[in-house]
Amino acid sequence: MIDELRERLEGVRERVDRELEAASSPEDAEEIRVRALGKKGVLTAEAKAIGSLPVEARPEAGQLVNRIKDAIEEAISEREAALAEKALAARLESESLDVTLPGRRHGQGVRHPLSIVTDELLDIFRRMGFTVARGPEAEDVWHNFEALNIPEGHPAREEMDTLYLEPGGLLLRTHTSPVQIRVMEAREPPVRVVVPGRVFRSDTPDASHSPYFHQIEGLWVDEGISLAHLKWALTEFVHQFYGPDVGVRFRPSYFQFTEPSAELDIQCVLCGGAGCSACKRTGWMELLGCGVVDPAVLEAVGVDPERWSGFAWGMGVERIAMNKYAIPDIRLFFENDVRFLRQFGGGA
Amino acid sequence: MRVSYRWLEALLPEGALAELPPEELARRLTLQGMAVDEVRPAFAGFEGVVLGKVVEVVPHPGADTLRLCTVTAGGGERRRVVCGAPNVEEGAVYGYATVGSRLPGDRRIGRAEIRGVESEGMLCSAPELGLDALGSADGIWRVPGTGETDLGRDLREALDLDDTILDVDVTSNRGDAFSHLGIAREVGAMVGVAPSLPEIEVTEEGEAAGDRVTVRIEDPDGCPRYLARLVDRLQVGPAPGWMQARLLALGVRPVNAVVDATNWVMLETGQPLHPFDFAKVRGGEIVVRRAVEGESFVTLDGRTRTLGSETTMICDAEGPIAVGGVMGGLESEVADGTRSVLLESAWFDPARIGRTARRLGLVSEASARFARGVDPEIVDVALDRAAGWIARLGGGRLAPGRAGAEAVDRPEASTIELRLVRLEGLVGRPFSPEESRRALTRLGFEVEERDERTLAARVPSWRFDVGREVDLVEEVARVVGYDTVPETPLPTLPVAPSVRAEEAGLDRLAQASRAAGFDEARTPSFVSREVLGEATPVDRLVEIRNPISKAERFLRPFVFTTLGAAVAHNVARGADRVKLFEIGHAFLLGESGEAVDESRRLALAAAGQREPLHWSETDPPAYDFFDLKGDVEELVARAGGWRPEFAPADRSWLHPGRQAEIHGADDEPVGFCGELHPRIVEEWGVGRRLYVAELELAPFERPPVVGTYRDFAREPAVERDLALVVPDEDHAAEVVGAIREAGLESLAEVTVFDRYRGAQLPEGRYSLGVRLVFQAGRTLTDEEVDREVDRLIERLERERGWTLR
Ligand SMILES: [Zn+2]
Repeated sequence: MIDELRERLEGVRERVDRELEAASSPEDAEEIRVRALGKKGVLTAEAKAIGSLPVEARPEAGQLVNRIKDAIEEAISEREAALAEKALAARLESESLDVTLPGRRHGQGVRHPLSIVTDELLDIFRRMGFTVARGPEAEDVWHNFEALNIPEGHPAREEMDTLYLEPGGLLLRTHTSPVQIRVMEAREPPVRVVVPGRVFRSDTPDASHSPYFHQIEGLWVDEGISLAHLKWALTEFVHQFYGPDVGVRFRPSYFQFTEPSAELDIQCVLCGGAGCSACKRTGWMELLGCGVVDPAVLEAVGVDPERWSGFAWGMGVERIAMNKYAIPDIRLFFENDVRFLRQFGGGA
Repeated sequence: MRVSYRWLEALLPEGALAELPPEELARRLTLQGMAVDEVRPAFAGFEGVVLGKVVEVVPHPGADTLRLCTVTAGGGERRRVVCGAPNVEEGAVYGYATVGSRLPGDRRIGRAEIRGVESEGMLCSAPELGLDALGSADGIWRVPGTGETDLGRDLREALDLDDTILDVDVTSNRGDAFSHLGIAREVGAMVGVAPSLPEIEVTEEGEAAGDRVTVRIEDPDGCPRYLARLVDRLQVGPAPGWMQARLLALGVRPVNAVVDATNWVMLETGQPLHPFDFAKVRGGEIVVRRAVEGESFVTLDGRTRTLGSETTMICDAEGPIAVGGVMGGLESEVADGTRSVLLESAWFDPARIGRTARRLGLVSEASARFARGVDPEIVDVALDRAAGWIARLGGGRLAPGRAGAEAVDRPEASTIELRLVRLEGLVGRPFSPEESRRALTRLGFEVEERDERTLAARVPSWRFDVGREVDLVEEVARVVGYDTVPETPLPTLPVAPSVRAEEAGLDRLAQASRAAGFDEARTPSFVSREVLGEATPVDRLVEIRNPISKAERFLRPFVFTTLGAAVAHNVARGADRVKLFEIGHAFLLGESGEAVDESRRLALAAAGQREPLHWSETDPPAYDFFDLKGDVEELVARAGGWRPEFAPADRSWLHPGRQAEIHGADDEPVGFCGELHPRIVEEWGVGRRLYVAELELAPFERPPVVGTYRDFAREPAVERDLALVVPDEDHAAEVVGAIREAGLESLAEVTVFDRYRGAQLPEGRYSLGVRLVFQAGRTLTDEEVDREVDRLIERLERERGWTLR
């Protein structure tokens, strides 16, 4: 009787082994487990049948059934784990990507090269204590000319190539200097501002001219300000923007709204001062115009020139940007081709 | 202005330039405020060319077009030269390139056999010597003003060609420096010497000029001083070669000896002069008067000019003969047949000349100088010099004295005080009275010491730009050199905010725009009248009176106009996704038409795909209205911290059904957004739907709205979805608003999740799916939420007629 039982159980075990052999997924293994060890499984039935055996045979039969059950359980679990491992490997295999394909980008926008340069310049002057001020582009004759000591008929006025507007009396500002006047009209000295903005000249567009371009203007009016302060501030600026080793020179020039006036030259950024075609072999490049504020300008805004003095400067942003990025044509700035805009690392 | 180094040498005392070769002089002038843009040789290089006379010309035995010339270069030697020029003449003096000479372009001249005859060098045309304008390439150049005694002289030496030209960028205030004398004064100030004009020897004979010509000034404002001299019995021929060559190097085309002499003296002294053919000056009378508005006159360039009343006319007894200070007339021009010349030297009002030149579009050497101002004391000096040259070069007879008139007394030279404390204060370094005095004296000022710390400087007549103490400050500073001024750090700063709220707001706005995927643009300020097609607000466009382009003569009324065009440009060039933003100024005429309403604004413009192209997307979605609206919402939230509201709008340049008014935190309108009207899209040739938005900056120019902490429920929320059937005219925002305002307890959020329009719904109605989220500080039961929702549905149906689908 025991032998019969053993034979049957071995048969079950062999069958399970065969089935496991054929199983291809963890799910198959689970089915085998249910058939063999589940509530209605073969071994469960055998275990129940033990009760009908003679008492003396029961212990042995019980042990036999348990041994086979454990063995089957172990075989199934082992096979199941192996199958699970295999299934995972297959899934990973099927899910593998060509990681060299491009990522999905959302395209953050970039800063315009003129903004990059403007921000850099403004930051330097902000650290020196200058505050940004702005003004209208459609100006009146008073702010653009008269108050800046450029009376009607003065050659300097004609050289500005001004664009005049309808209604009369208005024009497109030819420089950012009218903002100096607006600031001083609005408040008493000391005044310390830096003015970025768009300005206009009636120039026919070509590679180096645009009827609209940008300037940055600065003004410091206080007690006891002199040409020597101007030299310090603008030399400091050049050293921060172009590097501490770049040579600087101030040479006399002429502007209606400053006296003494100066042009600030820096050592040519292309040849380092040795002389090249860009600097006409002089080794120097004109960077900006500056000077001590003309007393007539202070008087125009009701500031006593015997008590207050100051300095001012103005520079073209496009030219600085063109030098910095080796941009050959000023019109590129206003064409806004995205292939141009995205060249200058102006992210975030 | 082009400056001849040799001429400066001639005007300055011997040896003054010994330490200042051209390059160094250029550097020093630049540092003194006379910027030298370029230094270059005056003429092309050549060597071995001498003055040679052709003593005999015979035909070439082997060629009809060639001749054999016997040339002598002084001494007894004769050379045979083959010459192909048709104009070779016996007895004439030419540039003779000897065997072994080298012409411009490194052309070497050797012995050559030409059609069987040996030629010992060649005779040169002007272009072959690099003197293009002095003669044509078709013939050889007879060197004017040379004779027997010059034979054998090196041509470079004879014509003074070893010269250097300095291109000086004279600032507009320094009219006095538009001459060699003026530049020589600047050099003199540098080295401490004074220039002087070389003497010209002349003899006068015949009847005095004053008895033969009367001058009447009827326009004393325009021309207070008019002087003239007469030269008779002239033979007008070419000026000598050396004079022509130097004029050429200085950019003035040689004409004839009379004209060249006046130009010579102008370049020397700065005083423009004008010669008239005296035979054409009717009645022997000069009248200086104002032009009548609209008067016309033919100038010597052959053009008929219409004049205005700002112009001073020079007339004879019968009518005008010149536009004073600007250009002479065709009728009275000096020509080869002229025998008698009336030479004018006058002082014209700079502003009036400037206006005339601008009106006529005629900037001549004369008008450019008069407009900047000419030394009033040089008028007679220059006149005498030019008259002397004319008489000498034309073999003429100079009539004694000057004719002319002086309408007003010339002003006394002014004297200006210079306080050293002021000088030191503005320049920022100490000055001794000696140093300041020396600087001014070197510039021609006569300086006295008023007291220990005050100088009084008498201004020389040519420095009419100096009128104030601060002008003297600049003169002293530039003569001592800006490089002697120290660099003084700025005084300690009072604490002030370096970034104002407005600027910080703009930075946030730009940053938020970039974060939303917009590249920053800077677009033109000008547009055409048709920029928005029929929708252009033409009545409110601001017009440029003197535009650069006739078409684009208006200021942009909105930033999106030029920004949209930039997007169109990119699309046309094949970009598949373009999103641009710009912060810029826009201009509208005020309602009254008097004022310009200018505002700074943010514009957005986008077209193409929603996201950058990715290989995984076969059919990428296009950017649409709701992308734009979402972008606006996000960038407003980031930059301003407030929540914009959108309402239907009706701007004619936008798609009538796809545009919205944007309202700010206080419900005020702050901008608009929408799809550009298809008609404009078509006119612009975009070929894709284009979306634009424009926002005022004021709502961002203040610190962003920052919320304070609000408690949020931690208990699970209960959601209910409703599909409401609503008439088309009730917008989604209205539905959501009505639900929010219905006063439901614990209603935390209402969002739209679906919108449907279709056959199952009655005509004129649509279905809107809304999700209601209920939340409270405790766990809500389904029953209480259902009660709330039932109440809501009942109320919406009763009050608005909206039903459940
Ligand atoms: Zn260089």
